[in-house]
Amino acid sequence: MMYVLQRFLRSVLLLWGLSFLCFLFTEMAPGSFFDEMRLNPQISPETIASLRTRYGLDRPLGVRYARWTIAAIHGDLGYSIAYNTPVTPLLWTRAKNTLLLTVTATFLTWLLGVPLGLLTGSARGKFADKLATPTSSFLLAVPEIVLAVGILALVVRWRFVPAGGMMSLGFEDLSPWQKIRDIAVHMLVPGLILVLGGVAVVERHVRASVLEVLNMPYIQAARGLGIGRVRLLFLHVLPVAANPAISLFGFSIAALLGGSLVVEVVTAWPGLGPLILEATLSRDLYLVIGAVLLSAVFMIAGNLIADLILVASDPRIRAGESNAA
Amino acid sequence: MPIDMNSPMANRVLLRVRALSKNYWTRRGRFKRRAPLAAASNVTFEIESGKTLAIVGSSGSGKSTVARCVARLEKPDSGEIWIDDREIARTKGKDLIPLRRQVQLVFQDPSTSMNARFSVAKAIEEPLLLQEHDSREERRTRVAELMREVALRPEWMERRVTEFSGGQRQRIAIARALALRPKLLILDEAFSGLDLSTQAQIANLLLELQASHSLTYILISHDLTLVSRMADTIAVMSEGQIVEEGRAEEVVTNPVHPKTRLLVAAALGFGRENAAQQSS
Amino acid sequence: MTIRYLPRGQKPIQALREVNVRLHPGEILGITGESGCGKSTLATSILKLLPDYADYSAGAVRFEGRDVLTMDESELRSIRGSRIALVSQDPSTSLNPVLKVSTQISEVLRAHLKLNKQQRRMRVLELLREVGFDDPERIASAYLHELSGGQNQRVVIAQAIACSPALLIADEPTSKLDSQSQSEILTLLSGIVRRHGAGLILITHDPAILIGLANRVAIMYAGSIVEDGAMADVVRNPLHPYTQGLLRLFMSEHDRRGGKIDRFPVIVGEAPDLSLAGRGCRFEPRCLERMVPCAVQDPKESAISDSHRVSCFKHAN
Repeated sequence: MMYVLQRFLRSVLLLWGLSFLCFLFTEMAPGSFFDEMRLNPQISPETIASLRTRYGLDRPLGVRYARWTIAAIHGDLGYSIAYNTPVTPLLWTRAKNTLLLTVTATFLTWLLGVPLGLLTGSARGKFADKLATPTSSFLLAVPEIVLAVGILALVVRWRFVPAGGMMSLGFEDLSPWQKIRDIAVHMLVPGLILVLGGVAVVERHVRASVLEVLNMPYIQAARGLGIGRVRLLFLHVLPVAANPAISLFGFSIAALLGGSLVVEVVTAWPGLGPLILEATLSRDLYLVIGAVLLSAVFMIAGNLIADLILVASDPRIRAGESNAA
Repeated sequence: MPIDMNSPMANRVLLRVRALSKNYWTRRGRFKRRAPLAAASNVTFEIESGKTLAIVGSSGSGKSTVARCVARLEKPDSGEIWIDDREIARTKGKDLIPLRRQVQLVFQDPSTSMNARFSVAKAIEEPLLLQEHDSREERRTRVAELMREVALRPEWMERRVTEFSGGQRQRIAIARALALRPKLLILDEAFSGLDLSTQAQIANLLLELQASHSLTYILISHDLTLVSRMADTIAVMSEGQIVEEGRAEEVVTNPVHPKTRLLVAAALGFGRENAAQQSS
Repeated sequence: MTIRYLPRGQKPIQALREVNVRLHPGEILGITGESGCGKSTLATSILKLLPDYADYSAGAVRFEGRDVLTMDESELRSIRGSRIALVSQDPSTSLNPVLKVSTQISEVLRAHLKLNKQQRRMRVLELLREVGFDDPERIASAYLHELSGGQNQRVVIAQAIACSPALLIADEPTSKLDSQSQSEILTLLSGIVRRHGAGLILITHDPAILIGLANRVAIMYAGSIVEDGAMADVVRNPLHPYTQGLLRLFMSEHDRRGGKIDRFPVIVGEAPDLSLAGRGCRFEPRCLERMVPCAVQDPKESAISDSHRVSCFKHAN
């Protein structure tokens, strides 16, 4: 319990530190939102100055940060200059879209990847392994963007699923069931890209882990005591082999918001990815900070969850923690 | 009366340990403070030059801790360690370097005490690299010399350590330990994990080397079987303290402390499984 | 029984050559020899647990009327752990590090006996008591890293006797333990043999363990049994030069009178490379009493008495 509290506190501190760094870096980046405007002769310097005051950009850094922090604690992440709307609801909508995609993709990835890894690990050299291993090697080697563009090219050619976007035109007029179908169909392409890359990673990790554990003397000893193959795999091998997979799972959660940026941009999925990209390019200060912070929350949460699961599932780590604490 | 400069080396005390203590700190429970685990407390003994001391005890008795302190792999918490006439328990940093030449260690598992991927030459010359400033030629000559001393063919110098058997690897470890011409060699469970014949061959090698180089040995073991016939004196440790000490024949034929009795019964005579009954 | 290893890309290894072993219920047979002599291969072959590249060229393992080497996977599974059980060398790697002790013993029960959860729980505690634990409840919920080497080995033994097997094979059960734990484990094993009437094959590289414990002993060298017989016979009258060499060394190490020795009486040379095929006695290169036929012919087994056999040309009748 102490351990949980400690980790949680550390996470909060980390988040706070991150927010400050984020603020700092955005400040240090050359240029500001108004640079474009300044080039436009139709907008007078006075207008720009008043706009700056309005957005509080004329105050010193410390003051701005302090005000922002206080507001953030209340859930108000500032105002987006480009979109002319508060940051929080904007982020929230986009984040929901991203999560819809990534949660589904992650779920499928693990659902497919773990059994596949178990299968290829325990049946090394046999048919399933001979098929799966080169495939996952290939998928691992290909960069995500190439995979994305490749699949997109195929889809555009044959047009059996929509190649981009999240909803069709006229979405509002559809019945609830049709709405779900519509979104699902749009999710196929980005989802496929994410899942293909993800399954390869998971399968590799699980396979390697299973292979290593299968060679352990205690598994041989269990075999010698007459314990059946299937039970051996799931009750004796898996608990030991799970550790690297659990860490990987933490990564999966950490990447729920941030890991799909490329895919979203390429397939025009209206998620957090394209938003961050645009905001960064246009120096939309509070939007960038808000988006990065949100991603960071997921990252930190993901690692925290992985650590907690590890402590809960592996007695050796529990012992190590209570000694070190 | 003038001092006799020809008095035999054998009477000179090489190692003197006084009231050596070392604690390890562990945490008990989640909220309690650190509690000290006395690994070695108040250990005192001496060894004459050219002689062998066997330190025996079960696991956790503190024998390895004493070895590590004498070799200054650890810093003792209190007490004194004298090698020749230099006190080394308080020495720090660079001053320890000359000490390393005089005291060397041979560990239990030669596969892990050396980088098994090294060639034999590389493994043996490592101490030479750190201490002396010879050329490659000179080093290789010394390596060949050392290999001959441990009955290994110098032609095998470039082979990897992994290509050798357990007994041969232990010979390599001994060669490495002899590279800097130490006066004191500490062997920590150096025979465990080897076959009977191999153990005896290594033991014979060590006895020969002791005679030819006037080496002083500390043999650490949990089992009296081999070491009792190699030692001049035996010290028995239990729970961090020396509970019995004396000439080897004395300790073996007339064990006093119950711990000693147990060890003697388990090792010598016959019938290991009756050891517990025999010692009472 | 003759077994060869055919690992891919390496030379074939003759692991066992014409090995004959017999064991009666309630008997303790000690098998001793140095590393590479084939004793572990012998142990694992009795349960057909050798790796895929092992070739069971010839021979049989007859147990309770059937030949183990011809059984299929399901038949084997019904024997392993229930009729024949193997205790391995290193207790710190023979137990699963993330499962509780009670789970691991329970698994063996589950695999062979029809007991419900309650009954299994009772049996686990019973077994832990039998192997010498005073506080079985605490041990039952412990993990590998919380127990000492000796305690872990006792848990392994508890797993082995869980279904009251007729044959126990202990492969170097004490070599990784300190002398006190060694004595305790050996006492435990002999007690189990007495109480259950099981047969025990005790394999070790340290003959000291067998004295006072084993009824019969077999000396192995380079994949063959060179001498075997009743313990007393072999010790009093060792026939094979290898046995003689071992005993000479043993006596010098275990001499009660102690005192620093000049030199141990060793057998010169090292154990042979098992990948070299060929005829002739494997011990010949190191034998001080070698004769003409020794290098070219395989020595045959001769029975010196009812309870004493040796494979050596010195004693060929």
